[in-house]
Amino acid sequence: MAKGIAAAPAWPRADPGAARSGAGSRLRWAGGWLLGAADTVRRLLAFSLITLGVAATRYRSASALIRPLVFQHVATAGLRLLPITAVIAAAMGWAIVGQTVALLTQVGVQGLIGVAMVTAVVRELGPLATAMLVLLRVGVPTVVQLGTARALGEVEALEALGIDPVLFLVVPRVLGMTVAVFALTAYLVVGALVAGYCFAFLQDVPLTPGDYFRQLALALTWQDFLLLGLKSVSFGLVIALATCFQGLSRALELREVAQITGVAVVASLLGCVALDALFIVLYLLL
Amino acid sequence: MNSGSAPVDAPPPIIELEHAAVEGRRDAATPSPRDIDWRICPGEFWVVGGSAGSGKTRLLETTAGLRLPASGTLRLFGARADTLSTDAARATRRRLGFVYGAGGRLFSHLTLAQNLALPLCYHRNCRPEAVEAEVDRLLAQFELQPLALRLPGQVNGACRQRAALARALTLAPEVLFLDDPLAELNTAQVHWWLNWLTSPPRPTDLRSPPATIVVATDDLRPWLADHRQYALLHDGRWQVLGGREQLAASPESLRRELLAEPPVSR
Repeated sequence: MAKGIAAAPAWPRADPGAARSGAGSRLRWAGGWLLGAADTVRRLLAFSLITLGVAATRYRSASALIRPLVFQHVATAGLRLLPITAVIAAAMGWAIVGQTVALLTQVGVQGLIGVAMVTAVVRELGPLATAMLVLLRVGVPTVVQLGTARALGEVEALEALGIDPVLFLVVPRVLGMTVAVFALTAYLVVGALVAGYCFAFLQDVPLTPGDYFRQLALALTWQDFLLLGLKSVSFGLVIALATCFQGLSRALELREVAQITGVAVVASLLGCVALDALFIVLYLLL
Repeated sequence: MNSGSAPVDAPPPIIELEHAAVEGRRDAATPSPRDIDWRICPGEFWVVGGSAGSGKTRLLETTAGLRLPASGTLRLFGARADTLSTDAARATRRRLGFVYGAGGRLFSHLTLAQNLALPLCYHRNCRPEAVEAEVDRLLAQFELQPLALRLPGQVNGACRQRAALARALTLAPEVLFLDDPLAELNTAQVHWWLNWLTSPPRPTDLRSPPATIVVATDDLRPWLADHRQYALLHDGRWQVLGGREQLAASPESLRRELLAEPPVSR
């Protein structure tokens, strides 16, 4: 056996030159990726500014056509998601609020229930879960729809008719998704907190509704309302702009639509996470 | 063979390309058209021939101001296209109708009626109900009324193409660009198009063909007629031929390609 081992060919030794070139190529790849990401962020910011500029200056010129589209997108991104939002609120109430309330009661620190709920549900999970829901149910179809329209030349046909594609395609979606994320976040937070108490009640936690909601009210500050509103609006803007940008920003072929859909989801996700980190810093500062 | 320059007493051109080069496609197999000198005057009917992939659509888009030339100058109604503000460029585009080939690129999530109402509502800042009667008349004129509530994907290519024509005419343009409008159409549909373009408008028609028309095609045969101007795109080169007689005198290889003439036996 030992002989067999001794006779076995030695492990190939790493060639230092090859290692250097491997490290060099990885460095080049990382540098290229960073530059590409920076360029995408720059173009996304330019697209966002153009969209905001068009919304501010041209909305009135075609408001009779665009306003109903905004309501339509609020309905698509908001009202139609109410049932699934209710389900998620119930699941969140059961999985997080109910268990946390029961646990805190068991260890005798009921006084922390309000603070724990506000930190977990109001500040973090509510806005983030709503954003992910809107991204998956509305953002993804938006990229597919706009990407397909771009690939089939429908966007160029709009321009041939003198119609601004940003005003007709992007502005209603951005306004619709932003309003929807804001409204659904409030709905989800309230739903999760109420459902959480219901599940805690079912577990025979000795906590009256009055105590529970009094603790929540005491833990909530004006900063929570302000930052919750800002956060949900920012998430809606990021998702809407990232998905519209990926769908429209460059000439596409149909086979590329699936690829850019994935890119848009990841970009939206990263954008929301980065914003979330920024808001945590803001919470700590305020 | 002239070079596209107008006679001394001709009206001023409404569209003019000078030494223009057309931006090529990413996957273009043939060189993109360059060094184009072309003057389109009011009332002219131009037919641009070129094989598939020769850059006809891009040339038409450039001529219609939808994209700027890669080099050279484009003038639309006397103004340089590259100096127009965004609003002025959009206002100019309303004067130029464009019908894409292969189904006309209608918006796939809007019905035919909504596709027709869209430019009217956008430019007049009104709700679709306000233009309903006008859209109905247009649909009737183009024999599309029974299909008004269908999506483009639910009607055949010929109906999509006619709906695209109707949509391009909603704003009553002064120039109409047609990108290979007869491709994929059967004989009856080809006849309908040629008849519509050449017949005098009926009193019930809401829109008639504009006086100036530019057609791009890879088959010149249906478009052979007097009082038309012909130009060719071949291997990235631009050739203004002139009238029908000059077309007949063009090189045999071009005639074979675009007029499907059999090779001359020697």
